[in-house]
Amino acid sequence: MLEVAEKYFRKKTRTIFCPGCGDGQVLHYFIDAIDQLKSENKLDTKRLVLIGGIGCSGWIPTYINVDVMHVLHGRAIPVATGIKLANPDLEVVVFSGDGDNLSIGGNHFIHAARRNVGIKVVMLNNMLYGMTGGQLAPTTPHGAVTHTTPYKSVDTPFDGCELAKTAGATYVARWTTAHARELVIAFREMLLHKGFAYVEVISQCPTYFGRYVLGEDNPSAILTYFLKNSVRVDNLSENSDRIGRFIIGKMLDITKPTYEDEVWDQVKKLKGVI
Amino acid sequence: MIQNKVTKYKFSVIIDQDLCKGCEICVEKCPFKVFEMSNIVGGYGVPIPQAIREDKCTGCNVCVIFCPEMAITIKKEA
Repeated sequence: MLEVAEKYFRKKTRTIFCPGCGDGQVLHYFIDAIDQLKSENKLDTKRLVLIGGIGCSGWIPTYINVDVMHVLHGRAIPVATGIKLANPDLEVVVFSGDGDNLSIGGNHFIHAARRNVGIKVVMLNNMLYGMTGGQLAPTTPHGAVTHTTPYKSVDTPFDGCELAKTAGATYVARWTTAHARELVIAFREMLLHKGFAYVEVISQCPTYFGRYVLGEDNPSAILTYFLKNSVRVDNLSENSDRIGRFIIGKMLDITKPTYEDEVWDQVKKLKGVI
Repeated sequence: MIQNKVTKYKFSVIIDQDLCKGCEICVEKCPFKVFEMSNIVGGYGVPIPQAIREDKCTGCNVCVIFCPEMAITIKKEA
């Protein structure tokens, strides 16, 4: 096992993910990012709290030897908001999937972004419901054949980054699992950011998305497909083709007053401390 | 002064047999085709790759970065 993984894992174990799943890669990149920040004395892992939603991606934090909570379906962000409000010194990171974050927990997500709560959300987008058997999710591309849409999907997919930007998030980025270095840098920036940070990771699901939607179950071929079909947001013009493409890059990085700061300022003012 | 001496490093590629799930990402991602699938069955119950052309490894770490199970380690030998 890798040295950095041995350092941060609870015990030496195999992950629960399918062979070639992108969740294991995201776990690796996240551990790399916290290891870099810890060696630069910018992050204390004792202050790090990881929340996992329901779905395959909700299992990612459970391997890391820090405080972890595995919570109700779709309710990862409310739990994280509570932890952040009770103790603003903690660094709270939510790991959730596209079904957890945009479907059942969609309302929590837009309201956390609207308030600019200082939590970090990593959303793994595998473009369908992977754990339950490959059903149609709000992020499934138009025209995809899944188990619940055998005659092609007629739904328009959700764009998580545009939603977060519009709702009021202050850090928004999207990368795929094929962009390893960029993703490690995005995780670093996310952990150092103050305010609501959202990183979307397009992740491969060879078992369901690969087999049924793409017709290709080789994880390496799906990674190549991500690389070929992704467009950097800087290279994007008005008339470039967006259908079937993954728009990647850092979309937004601004600072705004955070929710927990304003709440605690008000509490102190009313108590007469300030 | 320019020395006309090329130092060639040797790298040893270690695959953890208990962790590997045989997804073949390393076999296809390696630019020098170091890995090849073997008949050895790992801890997960599937055939796992072996680093049969270890002498061609340049230590670029592509396999280490992309391995979802963190099962590959590369050690540099002088």
